[in-house]
Amino acid sequence: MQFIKKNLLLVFICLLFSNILQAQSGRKLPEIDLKDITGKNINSKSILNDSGLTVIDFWATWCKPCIQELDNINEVFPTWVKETGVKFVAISIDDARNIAKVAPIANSRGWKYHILIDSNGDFKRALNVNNIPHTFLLNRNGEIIWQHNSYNPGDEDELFELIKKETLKN
Amino acid sequence: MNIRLHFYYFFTFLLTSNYIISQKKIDAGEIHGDFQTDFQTYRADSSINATAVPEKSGSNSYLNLMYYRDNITAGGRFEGYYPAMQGFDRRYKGGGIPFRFINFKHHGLDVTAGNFYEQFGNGLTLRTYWEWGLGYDNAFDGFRIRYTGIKGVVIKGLIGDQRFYFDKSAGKVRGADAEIYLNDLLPFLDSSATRISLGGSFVSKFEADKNPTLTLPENVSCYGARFNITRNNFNITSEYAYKINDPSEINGNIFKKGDALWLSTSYSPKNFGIVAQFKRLDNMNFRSARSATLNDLMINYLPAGTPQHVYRLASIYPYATQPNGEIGIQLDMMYRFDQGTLFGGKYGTKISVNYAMVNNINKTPITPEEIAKEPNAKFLGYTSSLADDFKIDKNGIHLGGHMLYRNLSFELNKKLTEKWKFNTAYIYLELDNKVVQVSPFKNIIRAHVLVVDVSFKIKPRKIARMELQHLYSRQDFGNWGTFLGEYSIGNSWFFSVLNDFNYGYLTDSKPQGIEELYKEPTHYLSGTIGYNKKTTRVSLSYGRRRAGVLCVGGVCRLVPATDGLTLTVSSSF
Repeated sequence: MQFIKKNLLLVFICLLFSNILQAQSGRKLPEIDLKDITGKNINSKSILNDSGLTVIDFWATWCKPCIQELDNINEVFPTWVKETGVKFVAISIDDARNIAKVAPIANSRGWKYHILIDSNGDFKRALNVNNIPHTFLLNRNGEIIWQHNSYNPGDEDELFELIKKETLKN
Repeated sequence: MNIRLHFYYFFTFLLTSNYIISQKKIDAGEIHGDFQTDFQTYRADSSINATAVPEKSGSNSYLNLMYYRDNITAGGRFEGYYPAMQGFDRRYKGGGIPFRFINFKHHGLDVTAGNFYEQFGNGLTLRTYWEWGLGYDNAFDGFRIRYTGIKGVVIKGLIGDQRFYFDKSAGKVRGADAEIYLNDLLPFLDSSATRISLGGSFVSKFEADKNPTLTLPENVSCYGARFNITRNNFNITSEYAYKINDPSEINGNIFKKGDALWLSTSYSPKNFGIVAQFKRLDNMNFRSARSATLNDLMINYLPAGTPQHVYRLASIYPYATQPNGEIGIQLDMMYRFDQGTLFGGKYGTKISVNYAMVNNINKTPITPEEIAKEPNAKFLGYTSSLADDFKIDKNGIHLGGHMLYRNLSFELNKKLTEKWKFNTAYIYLELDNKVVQVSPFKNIIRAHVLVVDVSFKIKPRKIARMELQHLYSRQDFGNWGTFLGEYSIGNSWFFSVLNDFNYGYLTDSKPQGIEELYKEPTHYLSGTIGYNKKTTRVSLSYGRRRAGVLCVGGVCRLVPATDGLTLTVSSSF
């Protein structure tokens, strides 16, 4: 019984703590080196939108809900860009086994996103992503103003409403 | 116990300091983290060979905490196993802080002291990473410097011990890596459509020789060279690694040198993608302890070069990399039929095909004549070469020796109407289980898997999904039928029912010695309720789970059959 108690205590403390910390707003992006699909080193600071909001989405070639999310957003993405000028960065956490499939999957599906690779999970860990898909919305100052874990069809409508609201704010 | 107590004090301190900081409104940095806790109860269930656990439950938890201020980051991870869940190594015991670090960045210089993860190139010479679900963590504890101050150049150097459960490796690892992006370095290539990067790495491990009879190499070095060329939609990349003699438990203590070749090329204009890969491994097990086995103390990473199936039954027989020797190819093709075309219909259609094969390599035993000439040759184990594994005759091209793995799969993905989506897949698998060992059946397994996956939008944000899967096999545990029903409400609630039904194995093929594993046709029924809010996820499952192999990125862990309740809570902040 004792170990159950200990565990519950740990969970409780964590939840309490995460609540307090979620209240602290405006987290900046940590500075981590990523790669683009040509093998070039790209610092995470430079992926931000110069003139508007940025969406960062962690995915992988073996993650079905991730690909579904990116496919579904891709259908409405031209409208998103036209109305808000949002930039979308899809970060693959695939390792050497599947990296070669990243660009062909993106191109064959006609994705219009900036595709980057975080092949050893440095950026994923720095942003405390524990499961994918994990989506972040960043404001013009590069601060994280919203994040969400997992995907169900229709979630993109909620995200777009938020993007529109935030774009008007600035 | 002491560590845990300190940990709680640490929390309280952070909590209080956070309040104080927010009052004073000074830039005191930011604190972020994430955690997950998995708790599972176990009940003996002889019909699925689930055994009782004395504690009746198991739980694995971690909490990452990181502090950021200007160019400094510091953090750590607490892990607790009370006791470790079934299928995890029992050396994960109790609680502790196996991971802590401090990092600073300044003008292109990036210095880490303490624990860190690193990867050189594709990982053939060095890769440390953390995979919580597998209980995999081979992090370094030491010192690392990265320098990116010259445009187009990345230089890394590191030294350290490796994590071994709550302990450390006896061996030391040292490594350096350089990568050059030519288009950034050379002004005349700046605007070229051809993008070229080159890289090289050197890794060396030291482990004292305590063997009374043999003289073992105390310092083992491993070299790697690689390139990546991209032009428009075309890419080719390759890496070659070479390791000096390194007798170990895994290779049977032979003194042969090892090497690895990885080659991958892809072409993907609009709507179409093709990827072709080739790999050959020969004696490339590289660990910081000669005696290490399983997933312990690996220094390098050898990608599997086979598809990573997502459907349940297709992943019953996964392939695991054979570091002692394998040769294989993989081909992927994908195509999207546009909307409004004959096959595309109103919403478009996506298809993909994968073919993968892996064989073992040809190994020529050392002959008595060679030993007569050079007595030490008997320690080499065997000789081999790429040329021996590549033969062309009138029947075609032959790679290596006998079959280890085959995969042929097709997938079709189609949105039928605004409300209905349809996905279907067929997968043929062949696996030499004497070598790959994913189940107790020691022979060649052949399986056909068919999947139908349908989702239906009942109302906006209310989605029902159903998967029907069937696996047909005359070997191992015979046939499997799977039903999965899911219902999700927006992005918050999630309900699912899963049943894996095992039936129809051939009684006469029951392998000797493991007859008791073969039961009457069995249902493995379970239900799950999940709740999601922002980054927090809670899920509760109850029921049976089949025994199997859980793999992530080619690294696998055996999971025994269980019956009971599972609770998972995860969050990040």
